[in-house]
Amino acid sequence: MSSVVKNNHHHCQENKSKPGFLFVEGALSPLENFAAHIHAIENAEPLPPVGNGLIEATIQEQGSVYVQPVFGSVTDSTSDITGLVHTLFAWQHFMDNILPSDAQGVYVVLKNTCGQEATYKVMGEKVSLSSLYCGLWSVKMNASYRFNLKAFYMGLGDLHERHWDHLEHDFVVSNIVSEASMEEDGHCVYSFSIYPSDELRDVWRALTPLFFSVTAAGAFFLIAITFITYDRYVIRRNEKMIGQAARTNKIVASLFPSNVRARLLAEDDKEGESGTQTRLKDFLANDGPSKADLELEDNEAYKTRPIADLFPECSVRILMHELLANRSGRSIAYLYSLLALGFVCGYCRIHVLVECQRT
Amino acid sequence: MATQNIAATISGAAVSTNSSFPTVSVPLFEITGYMARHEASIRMISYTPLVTEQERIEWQSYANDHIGWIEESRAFLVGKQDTAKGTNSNNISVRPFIWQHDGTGSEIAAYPGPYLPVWQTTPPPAAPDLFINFNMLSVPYVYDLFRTIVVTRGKCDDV
Repeated sequence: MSSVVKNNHHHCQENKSKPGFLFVEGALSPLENFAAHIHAIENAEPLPPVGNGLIEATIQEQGSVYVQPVFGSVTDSTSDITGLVHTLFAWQHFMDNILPSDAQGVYVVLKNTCGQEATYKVMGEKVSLSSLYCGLWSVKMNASYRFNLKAFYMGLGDLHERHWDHLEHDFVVSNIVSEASMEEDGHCVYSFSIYPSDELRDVWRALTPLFFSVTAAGAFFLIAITFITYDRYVIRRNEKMIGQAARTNKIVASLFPSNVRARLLAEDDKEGESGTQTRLKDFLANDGPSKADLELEDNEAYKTRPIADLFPECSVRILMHELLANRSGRSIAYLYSLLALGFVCGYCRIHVLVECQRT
Repeated sequence: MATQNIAATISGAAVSTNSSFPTVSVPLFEITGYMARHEASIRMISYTPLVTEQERIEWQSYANDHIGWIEESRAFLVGKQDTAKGTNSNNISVRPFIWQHDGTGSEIAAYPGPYLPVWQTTPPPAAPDLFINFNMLSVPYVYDLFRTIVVTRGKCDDV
């Protein structure tokens, strides 16, 4: 071994390509439970047999040893290797308090190129009650917890929840070893694979989305109910209006002959189309109803054309018993005056329908 | 980085104490080691000098004569109130030879070299005789790591 060191050393001496004393990086050992080893160092106890000690059964501290060469000279990177520095560390210490407090329940699977795997779970832990004071006259409690995120060793192997495989994130712990040493056998290159868990999902699962969804659905439901109610109201109103119109039409039909009814309706439509628009324009132009309109309204009953048919010859039979039934003498006189007027003008004009029969 | 600093400190100690490897010790090793351990969450740091077969007798004599660093380290930890690791005791004994385990777990004198005997550690071992002068090169994974470093060093012209 020593000759190998010396030979390689001379090989490097001929190629002083890189200054500094740290150009040869160290190497990492396989994963191992060093709990018993640490316990023996600290407690003056002999190392228990491997795999049979109480310490090893109760304390699991998976760690590795990082080995760094010591060179004969601080400034000469090609000087001899004169020894090694062994650094024993536990991997879980690198996972403590490196995540934000809301990142609880993250699985970290430690893998190496030596075929080993170990799983850790980063969990929140309330570790200390900072102060608690109880006075005689007053009770004051100032309880504030420090919320640490500790990594807990779960065991060897990949123990993460498999249904989160698609959210895996990896990174290689390669900054402490050189590229050249990574290609060599005999040491292990480590990587972290990070996975979420159901617990982490539960931390982030809140009622806010549900609240907004229900609110939006409720708004749509309310709008739909309003539209349906309004639609039913309009339909009922239309049905009522149509029914009323039908009844009115029936009454008119029973009172007037068909030709009179048709003219009444035609006249009404014509007035509705033109007369209303004209009056509206006049109303707006004159800032109110004009005097002519007022007079027109007063005399309208006398200025409309009578609804009548021309019969050059006709005979009027008056049912006397109807007239007699009307005990008012004024009505009989009024009827005779109408008949006289009609005969004088040479045609039969009926203003009042009593009961007539064409001849 | 903490490990590299320790390695540089050891190299520098050879100059400052006018010593030559492998018989080099870092004065007040625990001060440097304590800071490195607490800054980088390291459980243990140990220095193992590379001792050839020709240097073996000289090393074993040096280790017996300079075991006082353990008391220094313990005193520093007592001052730091790190009593669990700083038991102050004058009863410090180490094996006067480089040793290792054989295939059955028994402790035997290591032979032949080269050797990597455990020398200065932080924290100081509570039972020095269980650690000091233990030949780390007899541990398979340490042997592999050392070989990797040597081979990598051989590729320095490619780096």
